[in-house]
Amino acid sequence: MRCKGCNGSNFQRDEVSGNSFCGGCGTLQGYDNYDEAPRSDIGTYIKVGTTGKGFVLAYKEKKIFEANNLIEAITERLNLGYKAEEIKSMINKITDGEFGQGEWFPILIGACCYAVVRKEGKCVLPMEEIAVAVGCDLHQLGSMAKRVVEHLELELREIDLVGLFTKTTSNSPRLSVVESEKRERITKQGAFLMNCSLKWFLSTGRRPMPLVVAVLAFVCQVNGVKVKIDDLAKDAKVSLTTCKTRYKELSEKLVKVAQEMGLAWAEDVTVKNVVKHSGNLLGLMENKSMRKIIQGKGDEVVRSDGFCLKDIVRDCLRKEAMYCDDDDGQDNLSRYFDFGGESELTLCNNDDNVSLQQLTTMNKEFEDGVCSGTLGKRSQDNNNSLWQGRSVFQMVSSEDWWKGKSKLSQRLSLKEVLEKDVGLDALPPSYIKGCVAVERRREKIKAAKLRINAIQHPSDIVSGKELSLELKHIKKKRKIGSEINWEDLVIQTLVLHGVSDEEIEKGHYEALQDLHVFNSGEA
Amino acid sequence: MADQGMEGSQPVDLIKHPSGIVPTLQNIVSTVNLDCKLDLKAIALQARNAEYNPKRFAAVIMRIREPKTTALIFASGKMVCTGAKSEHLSKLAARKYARIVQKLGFPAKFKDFKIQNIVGSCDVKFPIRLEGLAYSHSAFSSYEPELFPGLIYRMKQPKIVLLIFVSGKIVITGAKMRDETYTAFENIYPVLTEFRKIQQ
Repeated sequence: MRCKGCNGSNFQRDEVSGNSFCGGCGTLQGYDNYDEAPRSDIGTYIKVGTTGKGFVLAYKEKKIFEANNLIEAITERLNLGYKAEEIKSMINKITDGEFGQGEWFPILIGACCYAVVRKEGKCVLPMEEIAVAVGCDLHQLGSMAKRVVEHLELELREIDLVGLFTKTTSNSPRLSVVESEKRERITKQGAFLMNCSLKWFLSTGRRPMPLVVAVLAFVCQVNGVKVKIDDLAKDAKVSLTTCKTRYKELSEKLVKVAQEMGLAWAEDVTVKNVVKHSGNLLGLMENKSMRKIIQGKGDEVVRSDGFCLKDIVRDCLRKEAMYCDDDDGQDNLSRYFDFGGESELTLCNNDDNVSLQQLTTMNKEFEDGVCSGTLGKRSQDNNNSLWQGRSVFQMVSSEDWWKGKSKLSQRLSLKEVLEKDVGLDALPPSYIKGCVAVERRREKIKAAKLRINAIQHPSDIVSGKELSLELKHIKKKRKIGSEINWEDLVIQTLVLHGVSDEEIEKGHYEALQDLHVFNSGEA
Repeated sequence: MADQGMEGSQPVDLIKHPSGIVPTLQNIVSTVNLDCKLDLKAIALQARNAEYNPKRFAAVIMRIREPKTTALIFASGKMVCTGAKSEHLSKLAARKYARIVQKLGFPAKFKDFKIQNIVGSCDVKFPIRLEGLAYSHSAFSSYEPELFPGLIYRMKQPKIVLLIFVSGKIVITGAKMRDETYTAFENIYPVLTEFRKIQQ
């Protein structure tokens, strides 16, 4: 290479501009200007023709470096910093060491975080939380998580509902002002109800967060903490309507528990006032869940230290003189019980059982509460003057019923939860609705047959009441004269076309109509 | 057409359906090749029962009332017919669509008719403990209540996907023949009874 001016070969580089100039004549050498590779945020500069350890390797190293940084950032965001290395090795395995760039890569990181947490089962990380942290769609994340699990052949543990509840409770800013003792009580009662919800199918096939919010709102009310379900739903970023539905379902189940337990005043417990009774109810459920079930002779199941509340109260009432100084005590209580026979029951007085004193007191408390309308107030204030007037007992607070010692207040496996008896074995709400729908259709079919029969055999006398048999549920809403709706007509048509009752009961009207009514193409 | 009498339909064949439950077919998807290039715009302009929005979807969407079905007609001459309740009705509907296209002036044929998917559903009439089923059949199951309320069961033989819901309702999809749907259900039924919630 020679100088343009003097043909010399002594070049020097200007330190400021970076241009080379001739050492002899000083001519600036234009051809040797250092041209820096274009670097910008868009695209990656790859020098074409470079082989071996050139820019290609640098690109890959950079990609891996940035990928690792992203993994660390996302895991930190999800408080999983200690799992970053495990997630890196998972992604390394999945991508054959290539890692990656682009929109899909954060989703993969999120999916791996989810898989790691679910595999270990020690902590809880809802998919929604990851989706927010990663900034992707929930279903995209779910799809990726499924692929990760399948690819790595991982076995995920059951969803930890109790853990999710505990996490939500501890992270809730609205409960931060509640004293720790009460907070612990709320957590334990909530965990207990979460396990009950699992047992009662309230969580099966449903998103867990609305149920968590509903249970939290419920136990807060039971413990006198003023927190609105609206606020809790807002904090958890879940639909308020769903939370309210879960709340209602939970209340309904607890009302049923009161009935199943043989609670003397069960008929007075409704969805609206179940919160007031829940202090006692939860205590009873806890007691029941703590008892062991042993197999007796034959197929009978015998409870080792079982009790029937009804028997206990009856027994208690027989010994009225010992426990009550009211003259009309039995009369008051007798409206709840049938004093038919003598009970052979002997009561155990161990810690797990409800004492006679508690039961009598509770019953009397409720009696007075119902009479005076101060039930709610009294449960909050144990030193009520009305109670003090009665000499024998101090009122046993409903809070004393709950001990928080049941295993159901901790995380248990599905099998363990199902083994526990909490006084109710409920069916899934969707199943119950399905049964009601079938029953309604059965009534409609019956009425349709009667209508057809009345037309085909006009001599047979059929009362108008029978013809509109199926309408008893909806009659209130509908005006007289518009009692037969489209569903009745469809059923009538299907019956006329010889479709079996069982098929119609399934409710697949369109399929049946296509097959049996509009099937002009069939041979 | 079926008899006009009041008698019920045929009793269930217990040899073919030991569970005593016959899944109801809800949807049949079939494809056929009309074997000619089609001017979709011309079809959309001439046919009353057609809609065509090339910005949204590159096919004419055509519907007929009997059998109540919908067809997607592509410019290549390929056609997808959905919504029929039986294989026979799906074929009949596909023929009707081919005839319509012929009447619009295209030399449409009826080649390679094939059932691509059969969707069936039924009710086992007992609640199912999905968590237990997912745990013990984890190799085949996917149960993510955060994403979908049902359990997705991917059966290997026959290769069928079943959606199992807590209420006892089952959706069976992925079959190319009706018998595959029935076999899949008969295979899963004993598994479901293991996880049924005993009613008290």
